[in-house]
Amino acid sequence: MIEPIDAIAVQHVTKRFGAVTALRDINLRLGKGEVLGLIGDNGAGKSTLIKILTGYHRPDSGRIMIDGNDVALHSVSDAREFGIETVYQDLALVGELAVYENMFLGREIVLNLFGMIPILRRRRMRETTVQYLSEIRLRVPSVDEKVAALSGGQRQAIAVARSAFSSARILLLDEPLAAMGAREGAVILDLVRQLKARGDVSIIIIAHNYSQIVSVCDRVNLLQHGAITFDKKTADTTVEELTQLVASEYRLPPAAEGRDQSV
Amino acid sequence: MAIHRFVAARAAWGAAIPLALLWIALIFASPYFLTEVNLHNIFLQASIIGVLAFGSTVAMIAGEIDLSVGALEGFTAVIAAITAVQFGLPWPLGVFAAIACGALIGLANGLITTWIGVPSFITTLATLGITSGLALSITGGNSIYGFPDAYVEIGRGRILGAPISAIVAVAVLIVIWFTLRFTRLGLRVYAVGGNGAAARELGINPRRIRTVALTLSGACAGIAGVLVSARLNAANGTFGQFDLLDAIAAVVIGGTALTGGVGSMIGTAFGVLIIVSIRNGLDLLGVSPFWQTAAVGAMILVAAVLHRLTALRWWRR
Repeated sequence: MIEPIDAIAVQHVTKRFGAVTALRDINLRLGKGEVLGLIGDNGAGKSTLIKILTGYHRPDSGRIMIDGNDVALHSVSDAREFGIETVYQDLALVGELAVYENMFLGREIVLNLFGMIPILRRRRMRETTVQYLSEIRLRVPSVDEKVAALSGGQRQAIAVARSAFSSARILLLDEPLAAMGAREGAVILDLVRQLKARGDVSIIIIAHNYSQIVSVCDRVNLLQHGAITFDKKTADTTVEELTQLVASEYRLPPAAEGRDQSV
Repeated sequence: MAIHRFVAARAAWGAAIPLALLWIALIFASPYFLTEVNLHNIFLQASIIGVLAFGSTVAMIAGEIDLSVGALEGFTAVIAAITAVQFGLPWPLGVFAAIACGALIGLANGLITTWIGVPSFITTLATLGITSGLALSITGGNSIYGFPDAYVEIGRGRILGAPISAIVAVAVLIVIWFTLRFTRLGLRVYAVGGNGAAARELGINPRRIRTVALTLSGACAGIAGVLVSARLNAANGTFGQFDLLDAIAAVVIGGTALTGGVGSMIGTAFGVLIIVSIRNGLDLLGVSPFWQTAAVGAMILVAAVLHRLTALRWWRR
């Protein structure tokens, strides 16, 4: 049987920090256009896994494949080369600049005056932003509004939209819903649905809120003590099952290793 | 009109109302204020403070502060005098030497600040000491006189009735305004000053941008050095001593944030006119220069406090 090539395939990845095994023989796959939810208790290894995928940490063993090709991610810029973008909680937005300026910051559309002075093509950047935001149905008061004047959810959404708008093919969202009200979170979830509908980007979301995970993800993986212990389509599971799975952890005898090491 | 555009516009033009009120008050307070000779003096003085303040605005938007501009003004004036008077080289070389020297010291400020990580507050304070001491020791504390006539024209001459100094200052204003508003560099200056870490994550090199800003500030101090030495037909290490205070006051009154990322050239231009008019007005009213300096210092404080209060109100909404 021929399987379609995955956007990311992590195979037998192990990562140790000194005597502590943070990740143990991890196998994880993210299909093209898929939205994968990654859940697990604090210290289960989610951050370590994400940092390996962004080139921040290197695995001790195992392989990472992107689009079916073996890759070595030595640095954050390596990961970016392969189209992996991470949206961290600091968002990398400049509050005093307008939405459209933030969308293009670092890759502004310019016209070279006398062949040497890059002049901003503000109107084009503005219109492209308006068009893109309407395509992904992300509503902001105005693209001229400065980012500092937006709500937390809108800011998060702009950061996610910008990553998706760049040449990113794989988006890693590290707790995009943390510290966010239901209404704010809904903005992000809608955005993820829109991006999924467009189908040109694959997404991993780390989150704690299982009902949000179930509502937006295609599949859920549970990470416990540095190992993936659960992998199901969201259609085949429920919020109750996920909640029980994570809660059941506390009834087990404490694991000897891999705990409390969210490095 | 988006809210922030309105607020930004209000911040930039915010200094226009105090300026108008100040001028009305001065017109009533002194019959000499509106005379041509006096207005001419105001514009000459505003040109020098203006050029310094315009460069400082860019540095401040980029999140740095340049305390060396006043000392650099005196130092570059001396450099111009040595080139054009003592060495007897053609006067354009004097102009070039002053501006190049200012830019180089600004570049040094920038490199030490960004690559070694010394805060610009300290770097430029050190250059303030070094350049003013150097200027004084080179000249033995005396003035150098006798610039070529053509050089003096820069400071005293007019074209179509407009002082050449003022034309130079307005040209500098327009070039920097254009750069900040329309070029990629300008946008990145705001980005780096507003959130340096974010700019770096987006592939912008904050060190480069900040170094460019401090270099520009130094070059502007060099232009001010030319303007002041041409106007007075002399160069002295003490020139520009108090101009740092006036330039910073103008920038802050004009609405540029000391924390970076916010500011405008229009605002600074109004700030310059306010500071220069106040000093001029107090002169006309017979107030001693000592009190004028105290007044300028107080205005920096008032402007900074007002910014802080508006900022707090803005965030509470």
